[in-house]
Amino acid sequence: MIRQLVKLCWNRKRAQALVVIEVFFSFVVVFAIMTVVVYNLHNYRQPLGFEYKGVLNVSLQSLSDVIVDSGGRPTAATEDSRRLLREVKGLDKVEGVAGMAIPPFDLTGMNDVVEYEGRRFESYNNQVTDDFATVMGLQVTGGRWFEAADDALAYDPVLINERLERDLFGAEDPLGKDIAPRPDPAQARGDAAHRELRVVGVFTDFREDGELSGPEPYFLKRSRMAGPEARPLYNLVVRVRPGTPPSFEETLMTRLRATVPGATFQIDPLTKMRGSIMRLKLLPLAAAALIAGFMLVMVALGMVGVLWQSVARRRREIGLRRALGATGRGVSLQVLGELLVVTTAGLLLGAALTVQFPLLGVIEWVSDGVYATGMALAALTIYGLTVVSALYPSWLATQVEPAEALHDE
Amino acid sequence: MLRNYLKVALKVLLRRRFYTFISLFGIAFTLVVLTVAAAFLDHVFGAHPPETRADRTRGVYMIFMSGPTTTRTMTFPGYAFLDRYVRTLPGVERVSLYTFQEKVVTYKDGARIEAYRKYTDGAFWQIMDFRFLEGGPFTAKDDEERSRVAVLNASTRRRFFGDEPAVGQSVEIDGERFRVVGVVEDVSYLRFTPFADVWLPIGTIKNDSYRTAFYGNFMAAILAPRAADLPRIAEEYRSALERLESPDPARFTVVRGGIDTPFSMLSRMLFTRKLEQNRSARLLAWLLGLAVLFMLLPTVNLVNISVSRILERASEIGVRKAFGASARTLVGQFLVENLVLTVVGGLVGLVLAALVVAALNGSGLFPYARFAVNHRVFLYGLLATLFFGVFSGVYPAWKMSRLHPVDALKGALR
Repeated sequence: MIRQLVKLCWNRKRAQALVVIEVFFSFVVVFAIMTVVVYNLHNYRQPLGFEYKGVLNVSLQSLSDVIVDSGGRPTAATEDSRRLLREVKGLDKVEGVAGMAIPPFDLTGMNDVVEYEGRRFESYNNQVTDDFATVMGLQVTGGRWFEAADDALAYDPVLINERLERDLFGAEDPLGKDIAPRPDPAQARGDAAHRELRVVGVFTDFREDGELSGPEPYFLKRSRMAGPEARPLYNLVVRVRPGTPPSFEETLMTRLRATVPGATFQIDPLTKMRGSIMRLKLLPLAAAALIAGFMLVMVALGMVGVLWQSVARRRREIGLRRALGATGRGVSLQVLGELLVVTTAGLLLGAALTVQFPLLGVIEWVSDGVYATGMALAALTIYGLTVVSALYPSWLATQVEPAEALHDE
Repeated sequence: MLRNYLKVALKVLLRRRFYTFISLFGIAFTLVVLTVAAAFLDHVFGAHPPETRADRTRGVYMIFMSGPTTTRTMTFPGYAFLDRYVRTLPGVERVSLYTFQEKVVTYKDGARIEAYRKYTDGAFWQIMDFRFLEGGPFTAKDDEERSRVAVLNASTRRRFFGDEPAVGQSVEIDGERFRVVGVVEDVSYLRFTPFADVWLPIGTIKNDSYRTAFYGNFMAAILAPRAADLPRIAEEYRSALERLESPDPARFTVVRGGIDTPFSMLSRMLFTRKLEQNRSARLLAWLLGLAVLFMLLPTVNLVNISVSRILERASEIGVRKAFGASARTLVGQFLVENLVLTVVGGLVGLVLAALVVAALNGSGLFPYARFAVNHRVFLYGLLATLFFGVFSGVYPAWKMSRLHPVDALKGALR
């Protein structure tokens, strides 16, 4: 049966070529959309690693201006940062407050090289104060969190996420290891002394760009708030007590301005920041999906047209088959079968192209599983589309009266 | 002759309504997408008020620094840099410095009012052509004297004062009081040179450290006396950068950049291999390539339908051929049919695109954006239609002219 169908299609290969090309393009489009959707869904279901509800983000814009100006040297802004932490903590609606360099749900990020025994990775990172783990609900799964006594250390303590632990150490115990990159001998400058980044703990994750971001290696450095190495803060996160009304924002703003007059503060609930980053990431996807949807409707209509025409033109052939005893079901299965063969040819071509992406590692942030799922879903969609568009023409084929058809011409 | 073709075309299209509908659906859909995309690009990059002098206005948006410890960092320039190297460019009509907008929050009667704030100088209002609903701009003198004056846009006026006039009133921005001197029409969020909710004089920035910052948060707009002066000004800027003394030679020694339109700036940022080069032509080629790529599937679909339709009309063609119609005549007829179809589809598409654009404007996804299907976008749409029509009509027409009269009359074709 299948061989017969293939042969029938092959005999009309010139006429079928256009349908094959159409299926090919449709498959590539659907594959691209499906892969992105599956990728995002997959990411969405991974744990975020922190609790964003009930947290206000306070951006300290003008303090960071001072940092730019002074080339990172400690200034009065460091003292301002310490006072801000103290004052905000003292507010009775506040459960906890911590400083951090890059706010969550924000498109910016810090990217630095880490290295262990020749394995070098770029890893996103952040710099946070000691209260950060409690305020954000971070889960430390190995080693320890930062503590006040770390001020005395000669090295920089860091905590790494489980992904970076796996990438850098495999099965080895990461605690106590140095992950600072060795300077490149070609570019090394005499005065740049090696500063150790020693792993003191492991946490599950801190996906600062939200649920839709991919799995990334990540590490946290400690913000020193005392001593000569203390630096001003760029950003605060404030956890408020449950049931605090939104009007607390204004109270907080008044206190911030009273503490450091003349500075600019911006307060945003993390839920709101999460909303805008979600919108930013989902909007292009929604637009692409909408366009692809219309495209598929167009392709389906086109296939109906082609099939209809082909049934109309092959009335005599169909009539002959009916006269020789073929059932209506047999004829309609033939129409559908032929379309399925042509579709499969287009899909094979499409798969041959799309399978190159994972093989060549063009887009390496997508895992093979996600690719495979995307490809399977795309193939299913196209087959579904084929069956739907064959329904009417194949019914039409069953309506051919042998006597009339043979009488034609 | 052409009238006959048109008549035949219309008759044919009306005879098989289902095929006509499929074709129109495909064409209209394709053109809606292309037209909306064109409206978007035109809104972002075209010359629209207040940037009415776009032909002789350019910007310094970014600088690229490299040196011993800095590997090609792209950053906003700082006030000190622009003041020294851009404000001093010879042969320039005006230069304005302004900050990238930043969001500030004000609480009024317990409600949260968000506003984007931009600091700028007096020249800004002379380079840009804002429409004032009341009052006027602040001046260079206001900037120098650090007067606490503000220009608001219409939406911000409504948020603070309802529908009352605002000029002369005082408004609190980021904890400080400013006197409103003017109110302008809303400017789209996507026009990032002029966009803001509140414009304040640079002199009122709370912390003076910006004055010495080499890089940071500033940009500059340059107005040339004539568009023909722009290449010379670009050259002056380039040579000024070559002579530049780094304020921090231990970190960076080389600074590169250019004077840009927003489009050429985007091209630099997208094709980052040569940051210091203007890559507008390449970006344009990419966009056109994307458009053609997008049109491939609808084209194949339309060709498919057209070919099916010809096969159906094989006997008609056979008769015409048998009576001596040349292949050229037939190709001409079929191309006209296809063009009629695409033009009708194009018109439907443009009407639908106008509806989509209206929906986008109403959705508030892009604050203050007013996308429009204007005459320029309409022209792009029409060009795309014609291109599409010819593109998808050639193969079926060729196929049609190749039909052998005998086969055609029999209605059999392989």
